[in-house]
Amino acid sequence: MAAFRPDPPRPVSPVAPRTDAPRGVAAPVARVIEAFRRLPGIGPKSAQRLAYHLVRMPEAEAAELSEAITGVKQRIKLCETCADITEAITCHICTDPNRDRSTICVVEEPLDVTAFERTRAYTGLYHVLHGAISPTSGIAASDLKIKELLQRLQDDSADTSDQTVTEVIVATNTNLDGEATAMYLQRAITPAGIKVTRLARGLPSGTDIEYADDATLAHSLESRAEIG
Amino acid sequence: MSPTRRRYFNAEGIVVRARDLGEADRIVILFTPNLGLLSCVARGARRTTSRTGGHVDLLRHITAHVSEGRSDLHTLSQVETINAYLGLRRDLDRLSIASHFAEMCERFSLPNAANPNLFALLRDTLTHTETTAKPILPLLRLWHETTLLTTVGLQPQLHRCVRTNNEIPPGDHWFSPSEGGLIMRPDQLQTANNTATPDPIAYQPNPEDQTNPQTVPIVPAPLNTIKLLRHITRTPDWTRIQNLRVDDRDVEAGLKLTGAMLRYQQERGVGRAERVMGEVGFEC
Repeated sequence: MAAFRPDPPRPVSPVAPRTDAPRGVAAPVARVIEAFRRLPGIGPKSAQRLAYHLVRMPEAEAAELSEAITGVKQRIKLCETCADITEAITCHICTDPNRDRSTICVVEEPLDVTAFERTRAYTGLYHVLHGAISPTSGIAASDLKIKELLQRLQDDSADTSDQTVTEVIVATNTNLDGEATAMYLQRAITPAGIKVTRLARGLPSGTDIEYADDATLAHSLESRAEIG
Repeated sequence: MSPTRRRYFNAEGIVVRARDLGEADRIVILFTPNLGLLSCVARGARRTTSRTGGHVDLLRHITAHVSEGRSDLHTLSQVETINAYLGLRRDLDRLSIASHFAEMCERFSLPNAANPNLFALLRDTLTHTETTAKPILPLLRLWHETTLLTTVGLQPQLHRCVRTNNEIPPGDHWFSPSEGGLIMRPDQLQTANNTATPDPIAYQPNPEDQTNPQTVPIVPAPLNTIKLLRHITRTPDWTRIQNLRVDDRDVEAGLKLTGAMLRYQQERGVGRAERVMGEVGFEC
């Protein structure tokens, strides 16, 4: 089982005060500011605000935050079946006997599993790829958990005692990288005789047609349904 | 940006790179005809209700209203799609090779450096990639790479030996990516110079010969490949090139030649899209 690694990996050097840190800032605070600046979506001003909020925070709360950050790195693993983030060897979805084992929903990120679970409309299993094939970024199939998915399907078809997988739902994003991943999976899985489906695409609720792009409108027409 | 700063301007371009920013924004790099590479942020583009999200996906030809930023990052609004290249989005092989075309053009582009010819080449190549029959895609790639080299001022020398300046006689020769053109074979060199001893530097029998660390391995250039490349440089019109009856081996040899020159000029190894193409199983 592999420990969870953030994607993409970034070089991490010991946190030291930057030369452009605000003047007059104590070294420990400057170190925290620099640490926050490494987080996605956090700029220098937000990093400073968060750091000074930490300074004002009660010591117990700060310790709890610190323990939570350390714990998430130490206890988190990838589920050996679906590659979702879990504390155990196998995640709670994969071990749940009430889940439908004939369908696997393939998603890009662990957060996508959460989004599907919120709907309560899907009762099957998942497989997390941890990214998408991206020709423009140079991310190939071997960089993702696609090999593990194909192996899972192969092991499943060989196992006669259990309910076998009959459908793989490709729920990657509807951008170019997601489409490339979906086409790759379709090409790799279909020869095994397993049905590969893609989430329906079209106009989101509350949108104006005049602002819809060509691809969305085309997909909406292709996936149109009879009223009533 | 032009020397005169404007707060707002309209821009046309093809999205060649995109990455997520913050909660729901997306940074896109537009390849434009008059402004070179233009980095823009599309606010809220990842939300399902975004009016711009669908338009700023990769490999889309778009037009947009741009608010000039204080840095080199501008803001997109009122985005409209000129061409979504839907044919590319339905075929993994076409998508992979189209990404390669975009990557090659991007590598030869800079911010604030206008190159309308290079933009036109990418725009037209993406259109051709949608419709060209799959067996002809390698020829399209050879046409694109040769025309790209010509467009950026690096047209390979296919008529004279780059070492001796003698006219290249018909026959199989070699190609030197670092010197940008053909190297004459020694037996041909004797004929051309009317001398008994060939110039020792004019011929490297072993392409892997690395006696000179500055030397980039030379590439075989068969006669028919030379003819094909000369024809493409003379006739940069794909509609006439696509009807040529050419042997796949000549196209393959031509791609080795242009690929070696592109890698040398860009000082980079295998491209991002090429790596993905290799795993997709599309040999082109």
